Amino acid sequence: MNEITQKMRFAAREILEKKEVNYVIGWEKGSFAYQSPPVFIDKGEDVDRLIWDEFCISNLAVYLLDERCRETKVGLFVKGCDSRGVVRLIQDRQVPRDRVYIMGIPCPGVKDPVKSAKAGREQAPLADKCLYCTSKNPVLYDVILGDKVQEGSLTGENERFAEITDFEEKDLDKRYEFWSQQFDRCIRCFACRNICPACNCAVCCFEQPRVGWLSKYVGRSQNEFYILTRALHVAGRCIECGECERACPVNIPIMKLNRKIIKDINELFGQYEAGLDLEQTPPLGRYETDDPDEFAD
Amino acid sequence: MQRLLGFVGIEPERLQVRWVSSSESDRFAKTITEFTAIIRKLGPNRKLRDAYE
Ligand code: SF4
Ligand code: SF4
Repeated sequence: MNEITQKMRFAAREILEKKEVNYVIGWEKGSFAYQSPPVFIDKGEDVDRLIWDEFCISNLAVYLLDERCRETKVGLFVKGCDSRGVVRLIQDRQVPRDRVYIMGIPCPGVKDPVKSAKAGREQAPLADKCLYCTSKNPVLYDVILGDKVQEGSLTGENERFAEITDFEEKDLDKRYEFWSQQFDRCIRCFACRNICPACNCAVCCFEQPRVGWLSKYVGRSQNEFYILTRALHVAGRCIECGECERACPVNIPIMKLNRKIIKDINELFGQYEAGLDLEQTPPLGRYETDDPDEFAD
Repeated sequence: MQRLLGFVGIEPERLQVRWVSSSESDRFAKTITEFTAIIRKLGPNRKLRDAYE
């Protein structure tokens, strides 16, 4: 058992036994070696189910939304990226800061479960999001478990948008062909929306089937409408946790859209990383007279 | 938005956003004329035509 797992169990037992929180959300070992699904623990004697390993990829922040109308207090384990999800939710007034006890884990990067299933535990590469990650250490926490890891993206900032820049240079019809093939596959399971800490509206506009111009019709145009609308709804607030793309059962490259929008926002409004700072309003959440006109276009 | 439409392969010029006050009738007419000209040049959109055909 590694040191962080030990510390997690110790911390969880303590807050559960002192009744400081109603339950704790962490990761456990599931059926497969290359997956560590979320676990919800409400009794001190169950804390031994908690683990930390390189497959703890799930962003647990989104589960705080289940408590948004209750008085519960939750103990939450977060990696660097997950902590930005918590900032997102607090900043969007979904969860009050004092209802979550945040236990931060400095994270050297986690592995992609699908690639790991193929390559085996040792050879498995890091998840894509971890290659560009610049917040490996939690940005917001009540306690931190373990020593901080070295910050800095593994590939550098250019690499993060390299794929986007390449794609932008392709021919317009080629781009259409690529994306329409992607959109055609969407089955509207809404997994991408449900797992996203930035998609936190209590009632989603796509749940309103009578609106007319929005529909649940599964077909190219409406799928495209859904996916692009969702991408724009999280614009400027997406924390790049990569969960939408991971959850998608038909592997739609949603992150490519998110990163494109992040790149545009950085170009138009200046460099901005979402969910790093509780005080800083996202660029699209405030109005300045010198805002560029172009984003509305 | 134009950038995003272009990214997914729709002619970005199909979307134009302008700020026109209700008292600026000249500007309104001019904006619409310009927009129709752009659209005429592009021709009818054939992309994304699945749902209602
Ligand atoms: S859009 Fe995707 S990457 Fe961005 S916050 Fe939501 S789940 Fe995470
Ligand atoms: S997860 Fe994938 S298939 Fe499901 S609604 Fe989102 S884009 Fe569509």
